[in-house]
Amino acid sequence: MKNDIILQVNGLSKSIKGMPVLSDFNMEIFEGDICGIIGPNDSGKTMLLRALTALINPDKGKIEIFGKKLIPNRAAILSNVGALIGDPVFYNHLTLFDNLLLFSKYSGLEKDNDEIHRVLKLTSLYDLSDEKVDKLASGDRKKLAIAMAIYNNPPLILLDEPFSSLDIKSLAEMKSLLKSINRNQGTTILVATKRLTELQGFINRIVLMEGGRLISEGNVDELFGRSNVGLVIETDNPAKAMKLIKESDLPIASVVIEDDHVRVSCEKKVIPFINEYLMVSEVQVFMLRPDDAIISYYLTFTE
Amino acid sequence: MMLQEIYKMFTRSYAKIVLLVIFILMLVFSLAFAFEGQEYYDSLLSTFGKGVSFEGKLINGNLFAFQLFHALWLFVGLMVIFVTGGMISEEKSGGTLRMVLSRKVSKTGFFTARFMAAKLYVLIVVLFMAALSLGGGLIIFGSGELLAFDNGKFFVLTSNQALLSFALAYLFYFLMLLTVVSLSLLFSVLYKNSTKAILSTVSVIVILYFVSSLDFSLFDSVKPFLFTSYFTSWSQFFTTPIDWMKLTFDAIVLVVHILIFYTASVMIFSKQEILD
Repeated sequence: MKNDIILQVNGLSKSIKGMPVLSDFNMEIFEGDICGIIGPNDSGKTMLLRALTALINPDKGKIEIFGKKLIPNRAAILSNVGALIGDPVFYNHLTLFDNLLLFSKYSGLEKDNDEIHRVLKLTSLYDLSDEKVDKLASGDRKKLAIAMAIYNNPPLILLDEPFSSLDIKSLAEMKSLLKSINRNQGTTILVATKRLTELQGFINRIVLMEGGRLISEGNVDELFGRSNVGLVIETDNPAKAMKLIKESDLPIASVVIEDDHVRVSCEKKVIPFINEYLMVSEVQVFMLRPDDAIISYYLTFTE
Repeated sequence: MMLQEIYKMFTRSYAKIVLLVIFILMLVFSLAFAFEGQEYYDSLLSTFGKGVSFEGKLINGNLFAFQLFHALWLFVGLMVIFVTGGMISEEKSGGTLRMVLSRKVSKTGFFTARFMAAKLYVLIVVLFMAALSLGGGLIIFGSGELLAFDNGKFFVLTSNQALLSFALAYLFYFLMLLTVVSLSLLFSVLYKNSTKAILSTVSVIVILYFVSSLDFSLFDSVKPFLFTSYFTSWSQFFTTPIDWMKLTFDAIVLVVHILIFYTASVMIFSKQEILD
């Protein structure tokens, strides 16, 4: 049985200086979801999050959060939303502690030193709490933004590129933190990113965007069931391999080159034929390995 | 929310720098006044002929504060613009406005809180000026009758009269600074760039003040509507008798300008989208 819808977007459109940035966009997020909003640069992810926090006024469409329309209920809704929209910026002349205090006041909350210390500890920033923000590294700024978003346990968290600038250890820590918040408190989390690999094993729901449009939306498990498998081919000549696969009669959903590897999305039964075809065509295949299913799914839409 | 805005404002270094500059200007003036004040006023009185004499202590705290007021009012007005002109534009260009407005804070609430913080800052500036010039002057140079001048005329005010005149003049000056600050906040809402906001405010004030100061009759019909025409009205509190009708009218014009600038700022700001 599905949980209640916590966020619903219907027919959302927005143009800026005559250019459409969101076009008839629809989305449903259920309570307890960790949803990845994925798309390349300028696909409309950040604009969508800006619309969800009423930073921009949509030309058309409806946004409902917690079952209420956003526009007349903006203050009531946003007091229960933790958000990081765009690059995290703070008051550089203030300390981490003072920034958290200030932003908690903007969220309408009373001063709570214990809560500030708690989120600083959770994000491994406690030792820096009395440092001025202008001394922070970019990764720590991201962590501080996450600390602000999780402050006071809001039921909905919206994060725009929260993991970029984080090193591998911090990335794992932050994903684990958000996952535990989702698991223990049932917090719904929306993460917008262009780097699909950041969300491996993290999300249960996926929204794919391109050119301000929704190209696919659904539960990750369900989508994998009906999607192709992903395959990474390491060869001596990736360009030739891609050309051959594209021009072959093999039933391939997509084929692209990424990081000098050929990434293919296809049905599992086609893999031996690809291997044989490349060998016959005198392309040396060094390795065939499975790709992340989400990535292969994404590639089928965005090739 | 006003407390947050006040806190933010007073933790900024430039808010303190302006107070420091005012202090330095006062220090420079007090040195000149202490060393050359008597000589300067003797020569000034002598221009009125041998029949004019002043009994008592001419160089006193009241005269010091009066002269300092005349010397500083324009500089302080400009210094305040440097602080308030960036109050919104800086938050826009820096991105902190996006961070703040993605919370429950409304744009009107945010602007009003900033406006009130600016008001409080101006009040502190005026009180700082009053405390240093009048308070400091009375301590250093002592009290006495005030020999004030306005439009080429001299007025002698008793010590008590002078204190009341100073209180009213500072109050009117506060109103004048509020008008300037309201205009600077309007430009701060219009521009993302603080320098543009500050320059625009200064430019408008310079042009309008220039028009207000011109003696040509061409602009006589426009002058009553320019807030800059009332910038030096505070000096009329040192004349006798005080023209209460005129000063009340002047104050009303400034209040109307403050309300217009505030309303325009709120209307524009509430319609702006946060795209940075």
